[in-house]
Amino acid sequence: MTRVTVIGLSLALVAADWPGFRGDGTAVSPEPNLPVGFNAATGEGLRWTAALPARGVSSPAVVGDRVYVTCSDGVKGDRLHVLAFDAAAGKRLWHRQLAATGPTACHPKTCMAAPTPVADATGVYALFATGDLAAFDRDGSLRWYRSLPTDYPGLSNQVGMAASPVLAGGKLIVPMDNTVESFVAGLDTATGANVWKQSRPKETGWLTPCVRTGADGKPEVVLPSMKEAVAYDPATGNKNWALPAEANIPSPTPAGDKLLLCGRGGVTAINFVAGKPKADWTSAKLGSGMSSPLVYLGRVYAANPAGLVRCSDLADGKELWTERVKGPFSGSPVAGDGKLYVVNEAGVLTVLKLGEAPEVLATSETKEEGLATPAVSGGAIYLRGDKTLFCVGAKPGV
Amino acid sequence: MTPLLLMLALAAEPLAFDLKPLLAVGREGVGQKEAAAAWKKLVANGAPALAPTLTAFDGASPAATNWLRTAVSAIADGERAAGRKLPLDELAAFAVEPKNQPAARRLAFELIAAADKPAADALLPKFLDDVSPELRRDAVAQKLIALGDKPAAADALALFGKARDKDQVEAVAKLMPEKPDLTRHFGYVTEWSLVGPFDGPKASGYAAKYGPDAGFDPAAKFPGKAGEAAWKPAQSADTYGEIDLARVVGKHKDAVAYAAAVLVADAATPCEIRLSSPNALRVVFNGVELFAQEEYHHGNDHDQYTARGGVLKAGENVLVVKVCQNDQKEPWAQDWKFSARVCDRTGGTLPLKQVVVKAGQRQTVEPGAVRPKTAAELDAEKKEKK
Repeated sequence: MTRVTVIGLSLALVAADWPGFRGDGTAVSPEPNLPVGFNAATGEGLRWTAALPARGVSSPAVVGDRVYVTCSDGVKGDRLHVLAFDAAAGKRLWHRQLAATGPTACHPKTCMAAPTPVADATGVYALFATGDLAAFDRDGSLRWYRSLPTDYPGLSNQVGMAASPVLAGGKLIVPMDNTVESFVAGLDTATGANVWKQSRPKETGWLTPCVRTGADGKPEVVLPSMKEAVAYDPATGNKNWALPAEANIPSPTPAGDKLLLCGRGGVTAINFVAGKPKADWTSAKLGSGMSSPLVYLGRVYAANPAGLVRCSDLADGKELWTERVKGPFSGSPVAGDGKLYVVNEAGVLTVLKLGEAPEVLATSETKEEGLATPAVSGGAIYLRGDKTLFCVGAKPGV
Repeated sequence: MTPLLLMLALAAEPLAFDLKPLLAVGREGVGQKEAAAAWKKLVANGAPALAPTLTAFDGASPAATNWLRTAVSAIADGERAAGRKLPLDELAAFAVEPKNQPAARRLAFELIAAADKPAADALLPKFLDDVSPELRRDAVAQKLIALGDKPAAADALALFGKARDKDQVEAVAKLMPEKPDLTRHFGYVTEWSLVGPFDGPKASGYAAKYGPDAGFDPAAKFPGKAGEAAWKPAQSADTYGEIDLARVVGKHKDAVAYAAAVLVADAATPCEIRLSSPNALRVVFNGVELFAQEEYHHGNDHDQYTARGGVLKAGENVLVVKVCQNDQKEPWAQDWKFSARVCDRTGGTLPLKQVVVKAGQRQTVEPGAVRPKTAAELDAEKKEKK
């Protein structure tokens, strides 16, 4: 969805929503004139910053004039926060707290605010690694709340769940891959009730499903596991197709009429012939560990943990170039306006100008932890630190 | 205003909201639409709705509690946005009243702290013995700072008795001239009887039933994975009560072992059983399964699991822990171990003893006295490290 945003009196731009993890799942923004860098010390290049009440590794979600963020804290990691900010000025509009009803044990690198919330014009759907799931209206009113560990006892991943919910076909798709009570469900966005629920392999998974257009022109939700990648009809939960896969961390990526699956063997491009999936090519080099690759203007970009950004041709997977930047990465790269944005774990944003050969346009430091994937909307790049939400972009009137 | 007066005042005030739909939310999304409508009406009442909302925490389900919790934060947001002050005196009266629900009292305290930090700090000493883990933690933290680096031994000892969280217990222990017995402080079970291994191919052991599931009979023998299996005594020498099954029972995959302990209480007492293990567990206390979790090699934190609902009876009580190992081959998936402690609902010590059999004689002993490691154990550790 796009909208017209007026910043001050001098700048009007077409703003695209960035509703969830990696936006609409492609990690690509259609917006022009995206910023290049910033200076956290002087504030140059920063539209605004906002203090966050606690840590989180989830990404911001931006829809309309709202930026939604989740956080978690507490000695046991059991205090869960959902916040809404005004996208134009960064004013905190509301802050709601929940108490975890599920297990809070996790690897120290992550926390309970690991899944990225997903938003639409009516509000935000915030899932936490504890299995607590809440829908808030735009004004912060609680629309519904689900304690998934109460509904489905045993649900647990003590490494820390991180898969994010997505919206598809008017349903909230909730991935809950774990070794105990593993499922994916389609929920009514108005009431939170299950429309459907499908069992999943009892395997730990951290990847976020993607939404693509199926053979019948309707959306389908692709959710891989260590056994197979399955496409679900978001309306019914029925399986449209499945094919063998070994994937549990980097997320699948829609790429026009193709689909990228990321697994132990690297990245595999899937073609669809008469609606049936077929592996086209596989590139081990594009294997990215934690972060998810993206497809932008016919090319595949992946950032591996060591700090190597690789570019390959989507048509055949052949490598076109590599560029070493400052890693390591946990968050995923995003692209737009001819640029690739990637944040390393130390909060250093590197901006690459894309072309036949890459050019580093800028590196900027938040001086905070940088485990979250950036969000792009309204001519701004949103970076989430452990204490601060940074809105990188031109100030109003500039 | 005292809590009683507060309640009387509230009773006299006509309620423009109905909390019942919030408290009635069920599983899998039942009652959400009604709850959402009630939530909006509740929040629209502003500050007068705070106390009844906090009071409603008592007995509410976890899901209902989150409906109430978000209402409290929305009310507070609304009052702040309107430039109105929250009723801090009433909130303080609610927070310090131990009969109120602990999480609601903590929430009231946080509203005070956000509005008037010195006022909140002044309340903290009242929470040193609190059942709310967060209130107690903040009170202990405040006292820890006040004690400084070299407190009087009696002051440090007194604070040690109040501390429950592992990091705070260890911090206070460092200030004490005489090293305290952490094992005893936490109530770790140290004296066990072990039996195993039992065969559980393809991680089937968690669901399967074996001889020890019929109850703890120290004389019983069973067909095991490596021949006949009989109960054997084992004592934890670890400060945090760990029993390393891979070492005591052997390094087995797709295997099950049972640990049994006999705990002696003077009087009937509610208790919690807190456990840590990287393996799947089932916990049976006095013949009733209190906890089960089928998860493997996802961490091993202190107090990783809590089995609630246990009641110690006067006399002997039997705790049986079934510990299941799967067939993962990674080096980090070879651990087969557990620890368990029996404590009150704050994590505090209970006056328990344990029954052990020494030289064929049943004896009742104090748990938690960590014995020095034997030469053979030290040698075995050296070999493992090599």
